[in-house]
Amino acid sequence: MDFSSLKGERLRRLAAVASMLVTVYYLYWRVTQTLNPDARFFSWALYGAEVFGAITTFLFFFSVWRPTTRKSPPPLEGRTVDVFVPTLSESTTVLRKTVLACNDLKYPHRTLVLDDGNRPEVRALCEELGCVYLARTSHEGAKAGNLNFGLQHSTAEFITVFDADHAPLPHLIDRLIGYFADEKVAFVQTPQEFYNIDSFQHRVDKEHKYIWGEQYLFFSLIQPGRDRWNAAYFVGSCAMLRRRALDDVGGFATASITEDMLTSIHIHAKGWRSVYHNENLAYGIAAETIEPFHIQRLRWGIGGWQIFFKKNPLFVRGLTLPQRLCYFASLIYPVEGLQKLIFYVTPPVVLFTGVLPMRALDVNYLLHFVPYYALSLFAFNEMGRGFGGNIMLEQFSMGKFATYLRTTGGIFRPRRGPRFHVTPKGEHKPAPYGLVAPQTTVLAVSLCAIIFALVQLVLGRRNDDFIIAVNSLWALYNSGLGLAIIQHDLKKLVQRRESIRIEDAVPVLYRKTGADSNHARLAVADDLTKKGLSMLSIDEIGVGEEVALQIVLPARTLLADGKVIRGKSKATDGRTISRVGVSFTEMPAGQADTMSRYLAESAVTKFMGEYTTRYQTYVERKMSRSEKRRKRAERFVAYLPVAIRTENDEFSYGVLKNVSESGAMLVSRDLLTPGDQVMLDVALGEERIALAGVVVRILEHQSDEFPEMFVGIRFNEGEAEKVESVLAVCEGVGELLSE
Amino acid sequence: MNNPTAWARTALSGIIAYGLLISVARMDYNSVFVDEAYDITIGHQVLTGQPCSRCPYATGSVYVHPVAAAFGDSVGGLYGARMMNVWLGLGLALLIYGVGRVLFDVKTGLIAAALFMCSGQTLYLMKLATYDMMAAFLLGLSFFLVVVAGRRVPRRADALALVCGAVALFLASITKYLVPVFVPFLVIYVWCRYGARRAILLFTLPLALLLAVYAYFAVFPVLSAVTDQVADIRRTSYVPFSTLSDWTFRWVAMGYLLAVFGAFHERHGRTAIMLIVLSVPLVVLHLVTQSEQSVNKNVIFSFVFLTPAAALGVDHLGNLFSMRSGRGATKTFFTVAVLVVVWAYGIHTLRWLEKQYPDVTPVIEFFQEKGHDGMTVAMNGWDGVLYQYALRSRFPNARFVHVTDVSDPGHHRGLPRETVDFVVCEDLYYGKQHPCADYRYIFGTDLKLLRNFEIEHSWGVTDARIFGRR
Repeated sequence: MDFSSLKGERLRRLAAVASMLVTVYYLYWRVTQTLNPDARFFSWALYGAEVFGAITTFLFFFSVWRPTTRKSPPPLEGRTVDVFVPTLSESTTVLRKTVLACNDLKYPHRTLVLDDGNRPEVRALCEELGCVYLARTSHEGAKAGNLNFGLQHSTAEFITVFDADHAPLPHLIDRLIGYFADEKVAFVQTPQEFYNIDSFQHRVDKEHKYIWGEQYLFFSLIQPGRDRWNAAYFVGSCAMLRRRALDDVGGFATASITEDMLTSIHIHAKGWRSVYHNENLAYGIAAETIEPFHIQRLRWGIGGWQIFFKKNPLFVRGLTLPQRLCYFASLIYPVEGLQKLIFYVTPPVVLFTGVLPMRALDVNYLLHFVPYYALSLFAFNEMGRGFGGNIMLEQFSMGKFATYLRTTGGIFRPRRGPRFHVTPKGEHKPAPYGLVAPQTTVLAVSLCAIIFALVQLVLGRRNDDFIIAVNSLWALYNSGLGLAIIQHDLKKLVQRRESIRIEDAVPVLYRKTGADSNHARLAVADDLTKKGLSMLSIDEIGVGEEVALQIVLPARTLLADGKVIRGKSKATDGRTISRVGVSFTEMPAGQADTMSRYLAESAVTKFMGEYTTRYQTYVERKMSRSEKRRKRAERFVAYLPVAIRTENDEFSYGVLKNVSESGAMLVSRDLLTPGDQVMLDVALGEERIALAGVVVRILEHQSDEFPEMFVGIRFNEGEAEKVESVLAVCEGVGELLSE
Repeated sequence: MNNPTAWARTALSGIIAYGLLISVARMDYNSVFVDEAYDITIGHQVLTGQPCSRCPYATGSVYVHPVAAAFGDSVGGLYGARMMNVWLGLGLALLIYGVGRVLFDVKTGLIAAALFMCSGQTLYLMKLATYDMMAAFLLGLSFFLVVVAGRRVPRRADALALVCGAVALFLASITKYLVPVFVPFLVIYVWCRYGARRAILLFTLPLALLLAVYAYFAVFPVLSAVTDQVADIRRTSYVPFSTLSDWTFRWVAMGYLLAVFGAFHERHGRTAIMLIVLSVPLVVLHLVTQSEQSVNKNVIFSFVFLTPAAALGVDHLGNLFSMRSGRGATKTFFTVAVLVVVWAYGIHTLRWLEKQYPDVTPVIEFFQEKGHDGMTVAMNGWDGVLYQYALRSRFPNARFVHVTDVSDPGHHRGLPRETVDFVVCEDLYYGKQHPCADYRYIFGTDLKLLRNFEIEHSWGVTDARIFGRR
């Protein structure tokens, strides 16, 4: 993300200043004019929640005032790097993928698996994949202790740390090591990106190719913002650290279960610098259901309180004021649990009792509240630079508030060291329903309160009609938040998958292996996992049929046997289009690893590259509206396999991803250049439609091992009739894909 | 019910049926209100060619609503006169549905109609035989024609719709002289929507021409009546700004609250803002003049524009509360929930409005029992038209005069005090301007307190004291 090219930066900072001024005035007015003397506790509780909101908003504005945009410096040559993969209980399936990806890191390095679970199968895995296996006999200091144990067995100048589920891209070290040319740099942190976008913490808008992730605001904006203040912190994974800096602070800090932040505080307090490199260079698994999400947030919250009481950054010597403020902002956020509880409880209390937390809900109140609230929302959205998403943040606040409330227990027993709980990932266990009990309670109480108050109003037993109306709307909003979290969690309960699917477009040659063994077709895999794929074919394929597959990956072809386990079909333009799920029944181990590496190192970046994780803010929309945009022909989703023939009679397989009347977007493994004439044999079952065109633009997908390119093709004149036949099929494909 | 058109038609029928039912169910919620009595009486006088002493003071053309009300009264008495407005209110709901449908979509149109039918002011004015609902209907008709003109394919139909819109706006303006406050805004809207040439030729010119002709040829002076009334109203209903803003807020708060959410609608936010702007002039007028007179009724004109914007707001709230989940059922649930809140609010407002004006049924019944044809009744309220209307069939020769007419020897209608048979004192409501205590000398020793009726209102208690000869 290049923040320097963002439009309207001055305007959004102005909005932030205006919002802060209005907020200060509003809070002053509230405390001097509006507190209800007949309901002091209620009044002060709501006021306190508003003040807390203002403090966190101000700290947010400060943190993200001017986010950095960094370009990777040239790599340092001849340095020694050790890659640490700490693990406790993660499955070997998850670990295998990570270790394979670590082994594929291009920069010379050693991979060390630090197994705190002392598991023989992990040792065997390390032996198989040729990496160092280390296990402690005692397990003090949790993850930090494990990392320190790794340090005892490492002499490398730089340490790179990955959680067991985070698979790095091959060029990660090359991208980061250049920053260490500055001898003051202690660590370089990168974002923690996840490829299971159907996780609990993601929301996907497939139509607009937009993903909202609960952590995008932090990794894509807050960390770059803090980087400006030299206050970006180590988050425990996807980072590279200088050994000397770690030695300077006595290794990874063990005094908190959030060892990463405490280690960062120690490092910054010693005058070291940190760097935040805002590029996704590793992909992991996000919390799939509310349970791991809850465990993770509980750990972060409790760890935060431990730091607050043991090493409060406001008082630690050596930190700069901006660093203190940024760390302080990271520590107090669990108070949000109490703040949200007050916001959720207020409307039901008003609806049930008629007692207001302010003197009156009248025109005067609204004249103060509405400008303050509207400006705050606007400024937050603008300063969020498109990573905010108020509604989604509010939903997740609803999801987290009870967890955060639990962490405040840490305030009362800060010295008791709770156990370090690993976030369970890739376990596919259903989440206990009890975890949504707080949200269910908010929903039920809010709805009951609304019904109670409305009945009273209609029966003429109460006259505070506008108060009831406004609080009913507020309670409905809270109900919506609760319902959304409950629905989302239930959806995740029924959508569990054995392996995480990654959308792709890969040509597949398949042959039925049953009675009809001469039946062979060219198809497209529209998503892949290590255990199977989803395939689109202009063909009739029945559930239960067995197939022999050739999966044509870039630069290599994988062989596998599979069985159709589910399927649906559609008749369009006289053809049958099938979309079937194929489970691999046999795939040689080496090929499975290749598939795993392809998915982790290439497919995931292609797939994530198609989505955007930010939206345009209001100011950006206004500013870009004036720019003229070239009108493009309407494009239709195609996912059709093609055989590509070039002028030099070279032949390869590719996929037409989308088609318009005038051209198409082709995924090709052939290295084409603009101006090349190509002949595309579009495989529609047995039939082939040959379309001639010229390459007009290319976009290379950066991968040494799996090179691919996205090619823009403009059809030659006289192809209209054939294009129309293809478009007729596209319609059916689009419908099948969207079902 | 899969057919969206059939579904919409059924839903719209349900909304209309609800409005009809809830209006007809309590049509006799109160005795005749003084404004109703005015209009019906004037209408009868105009229709029968009798001298019309009150006509010059009317704040709307005596040939529009009063005539219609008198017609209704002839058919079904006060019930008939009120029913005229029920039909107009239902018609206006359909027009608002049409505006919502044309500007947005069928669903928003339906929500707009539902909101309008759930509004306490609408339901109240539908059964109040004053010119408010008729003027609102004509204003709504004008706006509907203006909006719909852009959708007619043949240009000639476009032109006809705009001209008819101008005529409807003219009729609305003369029905109640308050409506012209919206005219400049509507003209600008038409100008922006259809361009200067068409706006001038097809809308502004016909409207200006009709208004000029009316002002010139009106039987009763328009301008002086309006200015006199405004001055009088300002004098009698002047309230401090803060009180007025609180009072006005009470009547428009829900509409604007919802409409503001409409302004944040992704696709139609701009249109919602335009509708909000169109609705504002009346509120501004009240705030500027600091006159509270009938603000609770007048807001119906703002609702003509505000309701479609509020409907958009409800739709947006449905989206917001369902967290844009994409699940139709969730969104429907929250949209309906918001409508239920509005409905309860509207029912409460309706109850309040029904008891806002004094129910003088006991006073009327007293006169029916104790009065006689040819009696003279003085009162300190608004010249007794109310009792005149209520008792005209039983005592056609009874006279109802103002207390000032009895007391003031210099007054051209001054009456000797011995001719007064009864005096009705309604100090706390109709008689606020002329408290009976100021006229005690009239009563002398001849008149004594016969009855003291306590009248309960939604805002407190007033009384009506009847004095009569010993």
